[in-house]
Amino acid sequence: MFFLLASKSLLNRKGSVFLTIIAMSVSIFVLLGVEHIRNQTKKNFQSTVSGVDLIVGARTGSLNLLLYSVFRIGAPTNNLGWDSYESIASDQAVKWSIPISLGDSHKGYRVIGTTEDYFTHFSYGAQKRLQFTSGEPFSRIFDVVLGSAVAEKLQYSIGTNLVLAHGLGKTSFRLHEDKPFRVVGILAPTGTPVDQSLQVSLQGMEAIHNNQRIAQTLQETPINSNQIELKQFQPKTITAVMLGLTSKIATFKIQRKINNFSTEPLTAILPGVALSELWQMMKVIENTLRLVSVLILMSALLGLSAMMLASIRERRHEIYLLRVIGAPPTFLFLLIEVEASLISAISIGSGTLALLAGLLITSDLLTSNYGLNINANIFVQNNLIYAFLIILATLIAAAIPSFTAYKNADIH
Amino acid sequence: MSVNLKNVTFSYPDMPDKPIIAIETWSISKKEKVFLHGPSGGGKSTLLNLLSGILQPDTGEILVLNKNLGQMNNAERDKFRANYVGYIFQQFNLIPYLNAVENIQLANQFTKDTSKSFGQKDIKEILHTFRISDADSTAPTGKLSIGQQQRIAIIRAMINQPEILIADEPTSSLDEMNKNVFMSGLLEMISKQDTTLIFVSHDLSLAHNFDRIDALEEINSIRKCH
Repeated sequence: MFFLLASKSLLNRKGSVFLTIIAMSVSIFVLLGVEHIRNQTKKNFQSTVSGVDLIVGARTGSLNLLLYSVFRIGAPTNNLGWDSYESIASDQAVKWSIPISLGDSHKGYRVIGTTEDYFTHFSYGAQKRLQFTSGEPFSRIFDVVLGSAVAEKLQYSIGTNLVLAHGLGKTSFRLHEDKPFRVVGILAPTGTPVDQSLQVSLQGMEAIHNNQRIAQTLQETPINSNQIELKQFQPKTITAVMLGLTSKIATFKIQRKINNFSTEPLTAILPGVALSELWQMMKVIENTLRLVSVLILMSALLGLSAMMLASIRERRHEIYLLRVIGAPPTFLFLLIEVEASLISAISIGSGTLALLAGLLITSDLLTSNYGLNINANIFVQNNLIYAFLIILATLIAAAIPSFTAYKNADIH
Repeated sequence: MSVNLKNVTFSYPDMPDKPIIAIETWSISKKEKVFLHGPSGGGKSTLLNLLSGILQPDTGEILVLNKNLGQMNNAERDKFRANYVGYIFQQFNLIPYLNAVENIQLANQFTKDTSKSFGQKDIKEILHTFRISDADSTAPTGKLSIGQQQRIAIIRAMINQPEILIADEPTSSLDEMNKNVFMSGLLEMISKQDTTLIFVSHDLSLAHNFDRIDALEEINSIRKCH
């Protein structure tokens, strides 16, 4: 009877209640949306690379190096020489190395020039290695391995021929049309920028920037063969190197050594440390966003409180009647609290559904434009805690009108 | 005795120096039907609120069914009112967005006496005897005629089988036909349940239905002085 009375009372004032629900839903949408995207972005960034002890690039800021080498955000300021790479990779403390070369793209997706070691040593998430859904790693100059999202979006399969474009834009006026690549492998989804990339050999990357005609026989020669003609496609420079060390204890020693490299100025960063620097920098923005969303919610709750307070004046006959038929003041207090909670619960429901729909609609856009894989599953523990806190805040905000109803219970 | 007032005075908090009620003695016997009349603003509604325990007197004691309302706490008075006192007003007797059955069930839920609990079916049967159809009993009461609303108000007030029924000008907004239907329904229910009735009205043509006729000016010494 109690809930029937509360729900019918709300239905009786559907105009003002509807507007309050809209205001609350929008604020809950913003609050949960900001929190969800923040958490997902952090998770995304944290799971993008694992097991890499050092990232080396030309002298630059640690964040810049991390962003362009791992997250494919921004552009490198300079390259590092192949000789420097060979010198670093041959250090006894270095277990494995993955050289990467950036700068080209295909229909807006970034192309990475690298070696087969990329498929052996690169890991993401909880030390998960890259897997192939079909095909195999590249073995010839003009072989290309696609990230899962690239293959899916562009509807490419093994054997498809494609041309790369110079630069990183979606539309390029400089296509390497004379040197088409053939798809030989498609990677399994990782939820990282790898899904949005095309992987080619360093020699392939060099070859498309080399004006010489390449003999058909050479095109079919494995890149790891000792054929002397292949040497001309050995890159002179690369963008960055990911290093795995034999011992974690050696990390700082190697970092110092690279930072003091005599041949050219280089920067070596620890991905974890650079990431925490990034979070440190982002914390101000995060807190500002959080504060703004909490303030929006607070204003909606105050609107709810004002609406309930005004309704008590409209409902004085109803309140008096309830008192006369034996309703104690606590009944009136709880009735107003339940009405406010119902508004809040409906708002949480509609705000959550709107957020879910928004994420489902924009997930492709976020992935292709920003490389963010936002999971649409918003029914996680954090959001449930937020829903609980919103109900609690509603009860506090509704305490003013509820107490007014309680106080007015004996005065008609 | 159903009601017994001794040296009762009352003034509203915003006008503490101007008492509106000052009654030396006034009593009503069990099962008695009392017709109370008086001028507008004479304190009739205030007196009824004192009898139901909604208001507390400044001085004196009010005994209802031999229970001193002044010695009860708020919760006890609420419970007492739900169990023993029924109330019908001139208007706003029902919550307009609830239907007749829900309005009656709402009043019924405040009594803790399970023997007085009525199901939906029982309530609909009672509504039929008051000429409220099934369709009308499930429509929001705000959409029913005043006559229908007042008849439902009788059932709402009587559902907990109160010992005392207080009716505050319940017929003043009814036409002649509805007034007669209302009065016959009310009196039939009162006699069936042996309820004491305190009926306030300006309409002296109804006085013949009652055992006793009291003028408020005669019992309220404030008004006597004026």
